[in-house]
Amino acid sequence: MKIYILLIVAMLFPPALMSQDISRSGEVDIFMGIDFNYRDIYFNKRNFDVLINLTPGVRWNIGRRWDVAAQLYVPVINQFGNKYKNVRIRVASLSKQLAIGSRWKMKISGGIFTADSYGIDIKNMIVIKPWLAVTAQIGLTGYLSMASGWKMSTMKKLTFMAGPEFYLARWNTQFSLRGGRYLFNDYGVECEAYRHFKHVSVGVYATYSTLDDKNAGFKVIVMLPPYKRVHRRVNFRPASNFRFTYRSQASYDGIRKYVTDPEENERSGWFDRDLIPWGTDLMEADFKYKDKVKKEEEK
Amino acid sequence: MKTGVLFCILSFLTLCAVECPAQLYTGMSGLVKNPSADMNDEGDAVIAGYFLNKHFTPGDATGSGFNYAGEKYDTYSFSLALTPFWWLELGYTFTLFKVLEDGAEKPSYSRKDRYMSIKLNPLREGKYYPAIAVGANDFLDSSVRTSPGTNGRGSGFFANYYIVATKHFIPKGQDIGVSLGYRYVPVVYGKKWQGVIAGATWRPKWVSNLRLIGEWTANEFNLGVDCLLWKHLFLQFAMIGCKYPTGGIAYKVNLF
Repeated sequence: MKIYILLIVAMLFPPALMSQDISRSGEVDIFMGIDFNYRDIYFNKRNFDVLINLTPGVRWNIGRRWDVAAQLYVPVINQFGNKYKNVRIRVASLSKQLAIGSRWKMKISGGIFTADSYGIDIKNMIVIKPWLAVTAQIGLTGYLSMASGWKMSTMKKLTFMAGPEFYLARWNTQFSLRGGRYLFNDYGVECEAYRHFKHVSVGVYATYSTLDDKNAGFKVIVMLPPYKRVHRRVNFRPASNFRFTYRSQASYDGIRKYVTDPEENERSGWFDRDLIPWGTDLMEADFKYKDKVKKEEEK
Repeated sequence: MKTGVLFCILSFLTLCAVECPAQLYTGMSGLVKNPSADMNDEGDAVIAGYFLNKHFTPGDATGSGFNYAGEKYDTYSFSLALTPFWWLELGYTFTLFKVLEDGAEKPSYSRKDRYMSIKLNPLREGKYYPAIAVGANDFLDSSVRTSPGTNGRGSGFFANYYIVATKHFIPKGQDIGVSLGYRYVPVVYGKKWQGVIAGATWRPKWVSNLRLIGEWTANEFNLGVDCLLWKHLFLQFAMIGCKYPTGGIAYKVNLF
């Protein structure tokens, strides 16, 4: 309990060591992405079942690294069944990022998350060396589904995971190893390897879960254009990224996780890129911003 | 007139002179059925679709593999291949199965055989020595097909492991590539392609993005031609056993 109180105090009154706010406070981003899912089920006479959702979202950068974000699922094509037919909330969360000292960064989020979850979540990264960091995540969540009526449970599910991350800057290559307790009360480990290219990251992964044994596959993360953007009070733009995940085994229960941010992805990581930069934060930025005022002055 | 058209085509192809050595039915680099030790460029991503002639697909006399009602059939494969490092290629392929679903009157291509491919290039080509590559297709879950009782009939229709060496010679600007290797096939469906494999390629000096291919697969001799247009569009056409047409199309992009 004391730890929670300390964290709340730290969030409200950031000490001098905490990093400065980024310059975009007060801005509102309205964005739209596409959530594309397909599955390969035998015996239904289709090559693939397809589920396509539009994912309109809004993000309000309040300042001091406070962030409010919300996003909807709007089904466009649904061959997955009735559970997925309704417009529903994907994420609605309030987040705060902070630096503790010069090596430890933290993100605290509360609200509705993906994977039919709601609750609070704390993400941490401790930078040990330019090539080595340790991440840890802990969440206290409950079940919340708006797919067919409102269903929810009390917030008593504890999930956690932790492990090292390695970043080889010369090759923009990242490895991570994590283990912990996941959403279906299973325990497991996951390892990932990514090569980061300009605007695209490609990775392979393998997992082991006490629930559904081994799984493996690959991921592709594409940062979406336009890459040159202008700071405005209200910004309309496409979603920052498109993620593709391939799993070799059909089971979807083991190593199940939620995300707390509508645009969370493995390339950008959990934190603002100017908050104790590490790993891909040190690559050339995907999106380059220009202030509208400066642009008008230049004209 | 014919000479003019030919000149225009050759000039056009020469303008788009970028290489893409591809074993296109898996999206990976190579020849037609055979791999080579040539690699795609670091950062290359290839998305491919391929028409597989029935003489190209694995199957055996018992009706296993790509057989329907006791006969082999033509099918299609789709693949994604990536070269995250100059020494590593990874690929994912699925090939359509023809089956008669419950309640259906006609067979359809409604199921898939999926597999991963990997290729490593521990030795790059030097002035006096060839490049060497080792790799495998459909290699995951290999314990299923080698376990007792399966008699080599477990999953993994395209399973094979190989080692291959490739050396290029450039006499008067003509790029001649020669490949020699060995392919091990652990399953009965493709056993006829197990053995010593060889291939040769020729890139004419004046159309360097065009490649003529001849290969011995340990079972038959194939002829092929492929070409990269506008730096991104890759086409391949081949004759299996010099008689049966096969071929595909791919989109290639470098992610750097």
